[in-house]
Amino acid sequence: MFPLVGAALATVAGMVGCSADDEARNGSADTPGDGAPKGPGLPITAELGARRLTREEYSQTVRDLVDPAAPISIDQLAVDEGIPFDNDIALQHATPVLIDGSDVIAEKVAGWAITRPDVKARLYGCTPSGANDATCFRTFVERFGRRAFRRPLTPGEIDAFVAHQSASVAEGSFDSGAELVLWSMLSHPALLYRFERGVRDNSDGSVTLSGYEIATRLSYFVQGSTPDDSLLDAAAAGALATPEGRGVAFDRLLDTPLGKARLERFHAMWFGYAKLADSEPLNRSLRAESDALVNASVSGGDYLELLRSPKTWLDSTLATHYGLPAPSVPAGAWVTYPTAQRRGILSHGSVLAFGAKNGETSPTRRGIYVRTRLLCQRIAPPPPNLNVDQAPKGNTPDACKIDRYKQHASGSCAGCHAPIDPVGFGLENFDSQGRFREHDTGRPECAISGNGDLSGIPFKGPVELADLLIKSGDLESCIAEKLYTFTLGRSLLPDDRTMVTTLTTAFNGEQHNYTTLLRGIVTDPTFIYRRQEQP
Amino acid sequence: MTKKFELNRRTFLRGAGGIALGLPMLEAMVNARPAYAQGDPPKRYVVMTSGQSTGRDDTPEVFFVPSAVGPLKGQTMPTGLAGLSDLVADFTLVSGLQIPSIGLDGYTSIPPGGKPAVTHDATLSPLLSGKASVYENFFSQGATSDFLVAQKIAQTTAFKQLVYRVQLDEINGHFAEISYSGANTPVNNSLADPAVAFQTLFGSFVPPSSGSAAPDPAIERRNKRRRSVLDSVLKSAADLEGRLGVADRKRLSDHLDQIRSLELRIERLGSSSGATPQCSKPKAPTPFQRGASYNDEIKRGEVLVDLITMAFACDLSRVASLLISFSMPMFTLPSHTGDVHEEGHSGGQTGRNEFVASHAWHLSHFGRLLRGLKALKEGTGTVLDNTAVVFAFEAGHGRDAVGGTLHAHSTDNMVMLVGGSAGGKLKTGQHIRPATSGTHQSGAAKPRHPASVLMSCMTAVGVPTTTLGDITGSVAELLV
Repeated sequence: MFPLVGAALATVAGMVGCSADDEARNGSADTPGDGAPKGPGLPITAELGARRLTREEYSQTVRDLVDPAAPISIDQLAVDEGIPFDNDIALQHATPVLIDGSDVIAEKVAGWAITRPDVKARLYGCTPSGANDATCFRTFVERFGRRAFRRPLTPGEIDAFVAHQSASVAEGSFDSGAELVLWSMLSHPALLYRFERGVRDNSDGSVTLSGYEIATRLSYFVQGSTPDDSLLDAAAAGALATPEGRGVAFDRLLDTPLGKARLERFHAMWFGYAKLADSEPLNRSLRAESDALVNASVSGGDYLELLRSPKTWLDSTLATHYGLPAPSVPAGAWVTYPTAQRRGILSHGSVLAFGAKNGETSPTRRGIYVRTRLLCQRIAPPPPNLNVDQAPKGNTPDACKIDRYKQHASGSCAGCHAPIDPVGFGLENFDSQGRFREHDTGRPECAISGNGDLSGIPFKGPVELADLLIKSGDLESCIAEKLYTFTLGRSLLPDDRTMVTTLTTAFNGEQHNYTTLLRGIVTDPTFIYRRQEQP
Repeated sequence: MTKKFELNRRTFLRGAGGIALGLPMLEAMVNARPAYAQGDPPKRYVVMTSGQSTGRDDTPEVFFVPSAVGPLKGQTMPTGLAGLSDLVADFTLVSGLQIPSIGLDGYTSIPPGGKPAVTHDATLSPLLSGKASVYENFFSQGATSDFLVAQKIAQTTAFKQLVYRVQLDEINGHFAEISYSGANTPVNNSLADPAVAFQTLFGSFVPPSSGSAAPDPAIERRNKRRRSVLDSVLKSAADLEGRLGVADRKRLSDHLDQIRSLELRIERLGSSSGATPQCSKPKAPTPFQRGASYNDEIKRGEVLVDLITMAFACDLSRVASLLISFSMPMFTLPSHTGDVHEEGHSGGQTGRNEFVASHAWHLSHFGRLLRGLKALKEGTGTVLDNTAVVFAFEAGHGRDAVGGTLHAHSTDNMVMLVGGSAGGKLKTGQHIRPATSGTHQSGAAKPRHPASVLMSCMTAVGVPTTTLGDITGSVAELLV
């Protein structure tokens, strides 16, 4: 039954073109103060369309809905490509593989769930008296449906799923029809897509979201998975309508293994090391090193320690790889860098691996990486009459690498390469696996000076580069911009600038506390609105 | 075993809720009849691509072009074709093709059907759709030939087309599919995992020659239950439209259209009257080994080719594409010292030998498919007799826009292999070097474009095509 309270009736009255199904879907009070249909005012409300769950989000969602041990053959779904994030709405198309994959996964999980008495009992929420126990079947449909669709089901939806009981009756087993309900819901577009219908169209063109839609946004933002019962209850009670209520929910959700994993994954995509194949042991160690630093920088209070930390988390393999002192625990422990050669994540092999071509570093690609991922600058693509696949050749066949790259500094090449290559030159003392080197690999006569510059300011090595980035004044807004891009699941539009500025100002004001930055997105008044996409 | 095709409640659910029906009216919905009349076997069409070129930097060695034009039989096979010598009567090699390039032949902008100076990720569009590439965009800018063919000849099969890929990870390259329904719109996510491809093709399929009069009850039950699942999803999704914006409605309707396609597919799986007698359900593939760059490509490639073969045997599909390696394939084959891409550029004698070996591996997919289709009897001949299999290299050997006259990035002197005669419409067993046609901006004679070869093949399989992307005219010498 739907928990209607007084304000909900006003909400219903205020809806445009709604049906009884919409009312059922959207449930109860969810707007701050009633009768204020203005909305937050353009252009602050983000323009958004229905995001599809990424492969990772879908997998985690099914696990959370059914059971942590549910067998999910994630390979049935295509990998979500993204540069760098995997949730870009522009790349989300309904393909046969999506439909086949979700169908196969749902079928298998449903088939597994009904063989597990503990899982069944939890999902049904009642003990069936027999194959034709209609009350229990309906209870199950409504109960699991509320979790699966992240809102109460409409009467039409309930009818469609309750009809599966005919299979139970035909086969003499309650489970038979229940399995079909699970299969249907786990592959359903209402689960796969986060539709945000809203409950009210405001005069400024924004749409106010329902409590359930706010819960969904919160949950996927923080944990990359579906709202739990507690969050859905809070939504139904209207608790998420206020910034304070959302803050409380945020705090609870962030402080979980899922919240932690989500942050780690976001950083891995942002900094590029999500693509390191984890079939290689070295890559697993590199990933663990960077995950540890990310966690410490987020929870430690000053997020910029991510770039400055004099410590890193190493296992013995990695310590040997870098030529650093072994950790006190071979499986991994924090180690203080013995010299000022390394500080923070720019010294990690995970990051230094970026852009390597044929096992060799590319100063050009590293330069592009720094400017686009850490300063949020746009680098124009090379002109169509250039061949960028091959490293520049030198004037002599045996030219040292630094001499070969001089080709980029001449003539019309310089215009694009001057801001880029010198950034990479400043990192050349570190090879494509993050090891320090004095000369070109295999060429002792080609000494590497490691001298680079960022927009004319000289630096040498990742430590000085990090320092320049922090001093540039542009780092904080880029940190906010990357986070907001991931939050929305699309490239930013000009109107999104306002929010990025708001977030940046708050981030600077709070001494770079990343948790506060995250929390600020959720507690912002605009979090409960959206705007329709412009064609 | 044929199944009488019945229209049912499902048919009338389509269009419920005002969502536009994007599916073509099925011939089979109008008259229940076999997929083709006796004596008129269906045609099949396959495109395979290699991310390699036909020559190596700065060396003149010719690997793929026979010394003489004319019959292949009796000629010494060039090095690159050694693995196909048992099939010389079954394929034709077309040489001397070209994709025009900015910076050559007087072009100061990307010419029609042409490419920018860079080759990697930039030849896919002209090669497979005839549309010039848009620089730094590595997707096709037009519909590819296999999609266009599938629209016409795959009306009644369970799968419009199979989209498979061998190289698993793109490794510092760009991930780009090879089958497109239009600019920047891939037909599907290519399947690289043979287990998933098998599951999709044969998970619910009962071969007609299974012998028993009654279908497998387990599969029947599963299909029936799947249908009721999909029914309940479509029925309940009809309400989801409310209060959605235009773009979201399209997202929803696209998704629901795909669900209806799945329903159709399940229905068709029970009526494969176009199957050959040798249709049978293959063994399920074993899991493959993942690695940092090599992901069991050799084994997976064989299984994927075999799945295409059996899919054709069972008339589950008539069109397939196989991406063997991405542009700039940087994975390393077992016991090679360099990656598949570098072998074209460097490595001295070792590089040269590895180049030959990795090319042989690419072409082994072509050979394996031809042999597999040749073993399937159909009418008075074989399935290969009714098929066109195109093998395309992403580049040729010759001038490069940035300099160099013997470069692996060149799209001069491109080569394509065409296997099968498509019902006697394509010449087989020949080396054809088509005459040039027209001139470039510079006045130089213009060699024929790979899209023209595709048009010959499309026409031969029953889809007459005189324009593909920016290119007009098929290669007349290839048609009988």
